[in-house]
Amino acid sequence: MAVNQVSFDVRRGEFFSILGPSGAGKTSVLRMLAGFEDPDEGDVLIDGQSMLGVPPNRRPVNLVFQSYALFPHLTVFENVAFGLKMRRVPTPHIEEQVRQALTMVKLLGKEARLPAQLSGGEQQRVALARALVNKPAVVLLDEPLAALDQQLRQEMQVELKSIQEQAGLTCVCVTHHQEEAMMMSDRIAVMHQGRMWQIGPPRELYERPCNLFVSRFLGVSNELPGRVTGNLGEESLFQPADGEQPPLLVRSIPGEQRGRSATLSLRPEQLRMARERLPTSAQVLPGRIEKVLFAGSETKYLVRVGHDRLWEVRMTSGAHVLPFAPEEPVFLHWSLSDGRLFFE
Amino acid sequence: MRRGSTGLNVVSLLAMLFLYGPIIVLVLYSFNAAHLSMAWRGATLKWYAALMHDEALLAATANSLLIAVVSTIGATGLGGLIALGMERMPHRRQQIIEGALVLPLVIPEVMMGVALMLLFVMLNMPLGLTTVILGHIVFNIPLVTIMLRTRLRKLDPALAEAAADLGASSWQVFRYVTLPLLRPALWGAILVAFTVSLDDFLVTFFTAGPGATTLPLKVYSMIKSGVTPEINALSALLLVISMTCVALSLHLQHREVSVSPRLQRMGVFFFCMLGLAGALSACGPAFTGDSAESRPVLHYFTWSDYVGPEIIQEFERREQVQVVIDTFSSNEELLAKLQSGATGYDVAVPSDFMVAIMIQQGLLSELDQQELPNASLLEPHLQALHFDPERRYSVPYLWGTVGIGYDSAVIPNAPDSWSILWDPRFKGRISMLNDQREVFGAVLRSMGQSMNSTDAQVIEAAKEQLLRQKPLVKTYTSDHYDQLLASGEVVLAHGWGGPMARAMAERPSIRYVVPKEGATLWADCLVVLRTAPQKRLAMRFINFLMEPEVAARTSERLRFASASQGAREQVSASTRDNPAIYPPVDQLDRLEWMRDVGRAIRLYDRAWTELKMQ
Repeated sequence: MAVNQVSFDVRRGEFFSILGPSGAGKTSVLRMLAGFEDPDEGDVLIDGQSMLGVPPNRRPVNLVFQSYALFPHLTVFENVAFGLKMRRVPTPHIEEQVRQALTMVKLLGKEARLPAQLSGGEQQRVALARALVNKPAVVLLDEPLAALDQQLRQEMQVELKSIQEQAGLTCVCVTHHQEEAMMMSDRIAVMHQGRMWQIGPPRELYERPCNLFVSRFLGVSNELPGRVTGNLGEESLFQPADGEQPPLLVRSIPGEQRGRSATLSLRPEQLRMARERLPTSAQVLPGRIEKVLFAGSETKYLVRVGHDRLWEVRMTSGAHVLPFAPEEPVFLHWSLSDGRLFFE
Repeated sequence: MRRGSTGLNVVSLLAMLFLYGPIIVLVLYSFNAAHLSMAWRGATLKWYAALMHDEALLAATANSLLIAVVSTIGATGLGGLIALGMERMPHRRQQIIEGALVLPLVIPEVMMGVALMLLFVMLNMPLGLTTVILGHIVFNIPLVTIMLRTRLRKLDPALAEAAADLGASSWQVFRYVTLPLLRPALWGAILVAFTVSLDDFLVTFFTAGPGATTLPLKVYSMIKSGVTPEINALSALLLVISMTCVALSLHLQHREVSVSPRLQRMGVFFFCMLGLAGALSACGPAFTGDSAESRPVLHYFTWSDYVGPEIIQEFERREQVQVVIDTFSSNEELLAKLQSGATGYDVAVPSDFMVAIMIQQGLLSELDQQELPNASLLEPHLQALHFDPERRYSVPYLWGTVGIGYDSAVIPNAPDSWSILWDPRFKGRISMLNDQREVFGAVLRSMGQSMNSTDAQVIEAAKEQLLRQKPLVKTYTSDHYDQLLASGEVVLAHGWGGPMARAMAERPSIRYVVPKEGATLWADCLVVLRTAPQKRLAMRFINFLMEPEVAARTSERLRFASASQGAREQVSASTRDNPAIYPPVDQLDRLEWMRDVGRAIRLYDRAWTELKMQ
């Protein structure tokens, strides 16, 4: 089953992303919205209207295909005008609206080209213009930027977002690219194995993921398995499974957790790395630098923690007078409020 | 490395030469000024000009075009629907249908032709243009479907979805997206179907009836009277048309984007004009508004080029009728056509022995002697032939002998015996007919036996003689020995008088002799078929052909003797005195009719096969 009991609302003017690894069922959801597939149960409502049994050509939605699906035999103008022509919009109106749409995607002057004569980015814009020229209630985007190279992709992220805001479009976007989803979306639904695990604004998902999957999928999750061994009121004691470590302090979660297995998760930027143990912090793990990856403004360190765990630490390049080198023993510190426990 | 690739180049060049050599020769010789010989006598376009004035050919062209256009439209329509329909089927069923589609392409075409013919006969459909068109649609459907499916499978399914998503109904999706993208393949398929239909021989052969002779059928029957440069010209034209179509088709199939609308309009226009032209001339006066919309039509089934077009026109004018001519190339073909249930033919021209068989099989209609006054004025020795002594079913039309044509420049002393064909001096310069009864007939007569012998020992002895002769024989041919003689490639040829007379016109040193041991006497006879729709008109037509003056003209043209006694007086002296055309009266007693040898035909069959195999 590709999709299992999924329920969500999209607000008018919102950029809503469905994020998940391939095979999560994202595209099936999108195809149900577009009308290419029917749900076995439940309904799709657009502006309060049930879409059950309404064929794709009668739905007030337009889909931007992952392959763009531009009509290769039609010019840019004819591609964009296609939807208007199908709705029998009078010719002068068609011309004007197509011109507006092409202006919005900065393709004015290329009306007479055939899709094969355009670059990948231009084709993407045509696909977008072809959808939004119809002023649909919802624009559906299927991996809209997946076919573009990295640089173009980042440019288009910004541009797509600004077009969406400028035109007040309601967008539902399917993507497996978490950074893209976070940058463009007002809200994100994380999908996995046919279910939606968490729906919320990007920041909330990143900072307060509801489970390990969401945590891992949105950014890097440095993890340490263990067990809650004691409750000190505001704080609890967490004993890492490695055994050699003394217990760590974590923020208590309501309810009796003592004795339960859990995983501690930390984001790379929440860790501070030092050559010696800071006496003020009880949240500290010793480790050994395994790899130093210089990435310009930032440097990534892979640090071996315990026997078999590699944690990722990110620090601004040049923040230390004496740079860390591989094989150097270090101590990783974090603040009490940053560590998150996920119970099994 | 370099040397290796040179070798490869040479090999592929040779392969290409092997492939295209025959075609190049054919095209080249269509410009040869010489009529019969293979010798080059300068370039000319006259054979192409002659094509334009050959009415029988033009009629065949019209039929071919009409059949090709209509069957292409039919096959493209149906094949297209199948291809589109298959897209929506589950994969398993697609595979089954795909397999079923390939079947007609791989079964032997002969079987396809016979099966179609049987079906039409069973359904009581008279064979004719309609059945040929249906036959062509049948074999073109798989071609079209497979070509379109190849294209359809390459299309991104998202395109149709995108169109639907943008508000297009299923019809609009097809009209504005699928069809335009399919168009190059569609045109490609149309061109291929058109070409295959235009060039088809076998299915056409079996499904054609009266009035449905196509170009390939016509070419085939023309070859019977020799490979003329006209045939070369015609074949060259067909070749050019076919190759253009196929090249265009290949080009279109490789195109990603659609065909330009202008080109497309031109294509549609051209295609329609072809069909219209075909329809107009194939259905002739029925459309041209000629006063006689309901003029009766007479179907004449005869050998290729066996009647002058002006003679037909004269009859059409005189009787206010239309004559449609269809041709066959052998007596066996004529019999097979009629036995398979082809109806609609009125008058046919079988040879003597075939008349006997057709009478036995009840294929002929009794003649009305009242209507045939001219048919009674026959050469004396043709008045009561053994197979139809009272002429109840047949009227002898043209007749002649089988003998030896030789080049008197090489053989100054006129040979008078079959034995000259065993003379080792002429090794490799002798041609024999490719006809078992005639070849055995010649040997049997030379042995002092009847050519209709049924004695196994005699036939065996004759075979031994022929085996002894075989090393001397350049070729066994019934078609182009006149050319071989005229070009000097052979100096002795076994064959019918008429072609020998043609060779004489080309090379005056050619002579003809009927050996003293005796030879075949033959006569082609006019008959009315039992199923003839126009029996009375058929009688008048036979009577007309037997008019002394008409018969004389026919005789001059075809270089065969006419059975009409009056014709002998009217033909030119040069025709009358040419022994290849009019056998001298004093030779008649050494001539013998070919007869049905009954079960002994198996002995001949076996002996002939052995001769050919050795």
